[in-house]
Amino acid sequence: MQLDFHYYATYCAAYIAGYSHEESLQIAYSAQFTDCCSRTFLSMIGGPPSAATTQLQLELMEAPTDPFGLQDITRIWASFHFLPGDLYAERKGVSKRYLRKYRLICDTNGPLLKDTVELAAGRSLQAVGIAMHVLSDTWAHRWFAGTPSLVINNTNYHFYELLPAGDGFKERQIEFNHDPSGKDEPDKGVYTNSLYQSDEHSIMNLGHGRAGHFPDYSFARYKYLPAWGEYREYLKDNPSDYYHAFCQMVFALECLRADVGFMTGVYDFEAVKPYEKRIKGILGKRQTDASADWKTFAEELSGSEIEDFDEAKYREEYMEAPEPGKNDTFLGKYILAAMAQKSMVTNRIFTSGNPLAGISIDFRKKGFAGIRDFRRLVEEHIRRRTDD
Amino acid sequence: MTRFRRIAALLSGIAMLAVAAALIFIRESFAIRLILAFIGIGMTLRGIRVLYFYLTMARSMVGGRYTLYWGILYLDLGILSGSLSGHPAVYAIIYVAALNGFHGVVSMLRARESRASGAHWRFKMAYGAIQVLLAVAVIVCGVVYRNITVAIYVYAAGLVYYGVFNIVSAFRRTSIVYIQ
Repeated sequence: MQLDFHYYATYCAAYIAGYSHEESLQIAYSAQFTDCCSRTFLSMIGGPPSAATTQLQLELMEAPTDPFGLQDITRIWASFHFLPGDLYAERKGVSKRYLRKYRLICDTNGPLLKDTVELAAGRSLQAVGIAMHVLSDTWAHRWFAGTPSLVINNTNYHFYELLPAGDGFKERQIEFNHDPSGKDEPDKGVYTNSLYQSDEHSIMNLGHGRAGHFPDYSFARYKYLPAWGEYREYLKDNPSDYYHAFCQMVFALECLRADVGFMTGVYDFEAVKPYEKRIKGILGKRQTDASADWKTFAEELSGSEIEDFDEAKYREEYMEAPEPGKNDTFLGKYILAAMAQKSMVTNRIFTSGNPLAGISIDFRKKGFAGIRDFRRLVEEHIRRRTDD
Repeated sequence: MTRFRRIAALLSGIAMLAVAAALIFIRESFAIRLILAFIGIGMTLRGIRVLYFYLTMARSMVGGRYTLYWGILYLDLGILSGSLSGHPAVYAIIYVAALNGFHGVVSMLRARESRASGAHWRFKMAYGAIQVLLAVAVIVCGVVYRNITVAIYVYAAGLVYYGVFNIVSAFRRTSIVYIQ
């Protein structure tokens, strides 16, 4: 998903769920910031590199694709943007190597989603925002995996957009190009995607790169042959999926606010019903950026002005804070929440017997080991337990 | 291009330059065998690697059968390279030239495809065109004029070109689309 949904739609969902304007802004900011918190940004502010929730294009270009490099890439993308749907999925007649990649396919309403939302319970608004980003992306990015893999993420010429025509739809084959400076043209059905690379671990085969930005457009309805789909055609209905994502976000936020357990597969359609027509109108409109429409709706909803997203908003606060107090700044709380999410997802993937996200060590049993950045998470965990 | 690929391109470029130099200074018959060994081992290893990838991964992928076809093709070409070393040099010359020519045609077709989809294509087209020209030159020298020595020199010149091309690629900036 893009800024229009991660920032403005998340704000709307939070407000409908009962959060105040200020709280909703913080949640929305954190949700969108998950697409901005790169190692480059963290090194600029003096933050721990392991808290990165995304990778910039330049970082991806230089990212090594040896086993350790792939684990690093997978930890980021699987934890925040392509949450695996079923880490224990079975498939007959495939190698173990293939099955490991297959089990990282993102899907909605998986056990990891429940863990993600529950991880945010009783924690900061920043943790809530990260959870909402992850939840939203399970709907937009479903059927792709957050690890470089040709055999999972590839697409081919069989990619058709379904355009509304009368009571039904007409098909139009999508034309993909690789022009780095080109813009997507929804009217003509021309979109940019990543270049075909036969190397299994090429960065071009990460996530939904082979489908371009298309899965992130709320108006998109399409059918295609996922590389793992055994030649079965899969239909993706983004207007419906995004509406489900919104209603699920509202439910999740209500659960977090009331501190009650979250369940997957539950959507608060009732709370969203008064705004259904408006929201579906925004989602169905053919535009590559729906920010203006969402912003207008959000401001009407709350009666407050919604400032534009500014990646650097909380930068100075973090940089100027003294070392012991950094964890209490906005970005400090975000960093802790991001590391907790990454740690949790990596642990789940590792304990399922899949080494693709790296090794996870339970510090309570074996003491602290591994990436030094995570010591701050351990210390925060100990501090919280002491305070409780 | 990642840092690892740049280093690999640089090293393979240097290796090609070294082999080209060796071809110029060693005996003709040994040079032919060296060329065939170079190609044969490379193709065979590549074929094995591609077939292994097919068996463990690509057979479960939509369109994975093309990986099988490529793997079989590489392996066959590698074995064929090895079997030609005992035959008259002219057959080896034809084989090597045909291989390069085919590779050049494929590069040009891929360049055309890249051009149609808006990606960079000129470099690839030039590479393919020069491969085809070198293949023609090798055949003319080795088969038409029956001058094996000159054919080897032309092939060595081709290796110098590929080597320099690889080295230049290693330092070239690439603006390829990555989708976030």
